[in-house]
Amino acid sequence: MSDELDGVPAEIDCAEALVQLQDYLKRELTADTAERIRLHVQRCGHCFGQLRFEEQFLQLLHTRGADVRCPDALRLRITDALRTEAADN
Amino acid sequence: MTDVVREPGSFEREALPHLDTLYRVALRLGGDESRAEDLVQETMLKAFRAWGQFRPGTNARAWLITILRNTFINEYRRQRREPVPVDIDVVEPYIARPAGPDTDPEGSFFSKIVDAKVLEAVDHLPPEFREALVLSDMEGLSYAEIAESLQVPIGTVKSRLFRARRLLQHQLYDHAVEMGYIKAREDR
Repeated sequence: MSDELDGVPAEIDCAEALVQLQDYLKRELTADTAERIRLHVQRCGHCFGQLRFEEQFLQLLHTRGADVRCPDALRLRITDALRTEAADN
Repeated sequence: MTDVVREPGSFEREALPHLDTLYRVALRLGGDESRAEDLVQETMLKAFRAWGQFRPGTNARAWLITILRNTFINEYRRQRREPVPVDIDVVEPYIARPAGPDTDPEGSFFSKIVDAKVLEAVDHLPPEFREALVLSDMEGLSYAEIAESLQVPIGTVKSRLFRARRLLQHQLYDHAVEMGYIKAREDR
């Protein structure tokens, strides 16, 4: 590829990028692959849009239901049960 | 495996901080609050009894989730009304095409969907997909931690997550069209 420079990872195509965008956002790719995705997305409007789409989706899940806590009554029941269990042994 | 005697209070110190996570995961697996409470309590008692088998320095959260999940599968799953199992062939078409609707290519419609609807859609995912998605995208476990919790290879985790997310995206997209948040694609 004409714009490829020495030391810069080889560019990947859209198909390869699209299936890895979620893993890229979750920081689950190797540094080298993540860099190749980053470079591709910088240059490709379609994949940039897809990245935003995946980002919005993951953000939605991350913020939903996160405020649900273990009820105090259950916490108490568990600590009581553990105490009883420990006393029995 | 040989049990090791642990110092008093070490279980409480290591395990109790994960109660919120265990409760949220139990809610998504178990379907209702009372079942989730029973599941978490049973998990904690089982974990306490097996504490001598836990290897210090390894991941307590993943270990507790494994116990929770095994307890759920052995004792609770048969009681829960699961959605009709999704055949992988039914899921496959969703994998083939990325869900980027032309009318909202960057997915801003996601932010309009109310919590209850999102959770309902998550609860309707096939169990193997749901547990991976809940652990990764709602509880923030790494893929390696999920692989440890579910006792499957990391590649399986990745593939379940990819399918789960695509399936959920399509369900939420259809809901957004139904609610008028976005216009349907012309070609659908």
